[in-house]
Amino acid sequence: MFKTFALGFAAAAACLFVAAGSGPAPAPTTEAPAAPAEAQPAKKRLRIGITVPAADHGWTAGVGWWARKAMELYPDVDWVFSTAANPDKQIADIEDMLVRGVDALVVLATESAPLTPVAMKAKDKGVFIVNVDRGFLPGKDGEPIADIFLEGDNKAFGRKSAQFMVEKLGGKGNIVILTGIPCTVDTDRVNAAMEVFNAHPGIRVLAQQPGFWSREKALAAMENMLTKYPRIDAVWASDDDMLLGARQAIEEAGRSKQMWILGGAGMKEVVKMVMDKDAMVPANITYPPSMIATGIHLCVSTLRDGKKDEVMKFMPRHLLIDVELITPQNAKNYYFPESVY
Amino acid sequence: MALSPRLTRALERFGPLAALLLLIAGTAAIEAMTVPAEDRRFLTLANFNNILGQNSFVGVVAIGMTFVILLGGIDLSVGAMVALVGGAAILTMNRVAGSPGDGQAAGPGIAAAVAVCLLGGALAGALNGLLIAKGRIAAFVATLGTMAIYRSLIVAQVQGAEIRSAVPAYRGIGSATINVPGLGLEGGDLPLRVSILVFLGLALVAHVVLTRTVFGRRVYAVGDNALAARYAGVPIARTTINVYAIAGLCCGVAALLVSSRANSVASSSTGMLYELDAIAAVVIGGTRLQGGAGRVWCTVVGVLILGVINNMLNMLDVNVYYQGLLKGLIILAAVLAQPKKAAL
Repeated sequence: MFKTFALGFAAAAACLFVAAGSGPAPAPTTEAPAAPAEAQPAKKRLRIGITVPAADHGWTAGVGWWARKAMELYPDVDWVFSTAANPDKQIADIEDMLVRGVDALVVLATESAPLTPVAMKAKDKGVFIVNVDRGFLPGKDGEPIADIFLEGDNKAFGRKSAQFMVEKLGGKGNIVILTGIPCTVDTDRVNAAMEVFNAHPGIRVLAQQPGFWSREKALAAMENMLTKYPRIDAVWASDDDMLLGARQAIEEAGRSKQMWILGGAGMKEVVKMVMDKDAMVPANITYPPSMIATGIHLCVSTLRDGKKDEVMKFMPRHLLIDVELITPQNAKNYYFPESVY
Repeated sequence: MALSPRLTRALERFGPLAALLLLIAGTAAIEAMTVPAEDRRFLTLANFNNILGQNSFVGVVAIGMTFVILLGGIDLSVGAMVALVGGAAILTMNRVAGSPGDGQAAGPGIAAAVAVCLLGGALAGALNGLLIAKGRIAAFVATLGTMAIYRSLIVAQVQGAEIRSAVPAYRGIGSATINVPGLGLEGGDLPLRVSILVFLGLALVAHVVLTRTVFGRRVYAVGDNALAARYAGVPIARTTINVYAIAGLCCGVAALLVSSRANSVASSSTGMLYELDAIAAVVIGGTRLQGGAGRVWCTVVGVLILGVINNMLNMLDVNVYYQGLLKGLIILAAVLAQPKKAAL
């Protein structure tokens, strides 16, 4: 009895979720199968697959939000959207999309190397590929796999944020560093920042501890560092989730007057703090999750009018998005209150 | 190596504690060798206030997990439950309290949040118990399913975003401290965290329930030999449902502490991997993974061992790439040091 009931419940719940979950992606319309030759050829709807990492922290949640925003702009496209918590899931997602016959893929890879073979397979099938932020490895003959590769400049992220910190400290002070999930993105940022710090003998890097781009983990790491170091002048938090965690630890230790924090990525709450001239958050550095929307837009506009070959004559294959320093003066340009990030 | 039964029992009982003391002594020794005297902070009350405070949330979850594992079960859904219940509590509170400002009904809002945490947690836990006891689904599978469902429910509600409290006073629950004069760094006040007291208090209650009540005896009996317990007239289904409800209730308490501490819940990451930390703490504390034998206070020691390891990695500035290696080795060593049942 219980089992029958449970089964029925599960089935009903599943139906409900499938119905509710189709969300902004238009329900797969009963696409008229290519009409026989005598009728005028109906314009074929583009089908584009988008796959991004699952929302495991604020920034990736922002990516998901902006992806949906961009999809809503083009209701005439058949969207296939998926998020993946790990490369295996993402590879499976892309394989499913290939089976469903997508014309193009927009991929923000969870990891570079594992996703490269499946991207190559897609390319061989003639699928147009836009790769955002985390790049594939080079394909055969060292040729890039993606038709368009769009990424944020992580070295500039590290360099510019460290330069701001050095200037604001007047070239002298004790700092601690919170690092993200160990991966190339994090390594590029931290190494670029360390180059700047090392060039200034007055700057002492007391410690470098992982906060894994997580508010909770950064909070605990910061508590430990606060206990260990009686004098800290600034925290290079490199990410806004970690900034919030560090800030809480500092406030609870009653030391908010002694130090300030530099995060990164432009979370709306943090941009607001900069805008409101919060003494603990004098600036921020962008690393916009909206770059996924840029990628989606480029993909649609390149393919939509059937002029791909013409467009690709001038479209750059590699686009590097510069990062910008957000200060109280320009903060309002980076504040999107309706975004989730 | 033949140990007398008495010695074996003592080792079994105090093995985890010995491992913890050894770990603390070892860390202090390394610190003494590598860090100048004025910078040594590991063996301070302020540091242990951090360690206990940081781990009190997982600790509360681990207390519930001890019941489950003693019963011979497992609960993988605890982390997702913390996120679901904590998120639901904040959403409810925001609705009840209304927008911030003078007219805000903060009191009723917070009361609603507390109620949602405790009731919601117990309910979500009882559902696990129901699936296992009545649906005859293996605990691992049942809670694997509810783990995905609970997480998805809260993620879908807010599309993966963070759920923020609109009631500033809510923060007071998880962040509350009691100032103890003279025990802090350099003779200052020690802000003793109330969440530590909640954790230890709950552990004490759990200890009494497990050792002094009929229900507690039944938990051990089912875990030791479910068939024998059934023949002895133990109501297995009811005991199972109650145990998972207790685990859920503990998750509710943890959710209350976590969500109020941060005054927010990150729908996709709050409580992530709590299940593994909680299970690890229980097992490091010497509770048998097959059920029937173990102690709550040993789980408290297990939580502390995990906490001291994490803290030590920070305090000794261990390179991030090697932290996992060291953590794994210490966990294995702590468990290896405990006496085992004769090999098959």
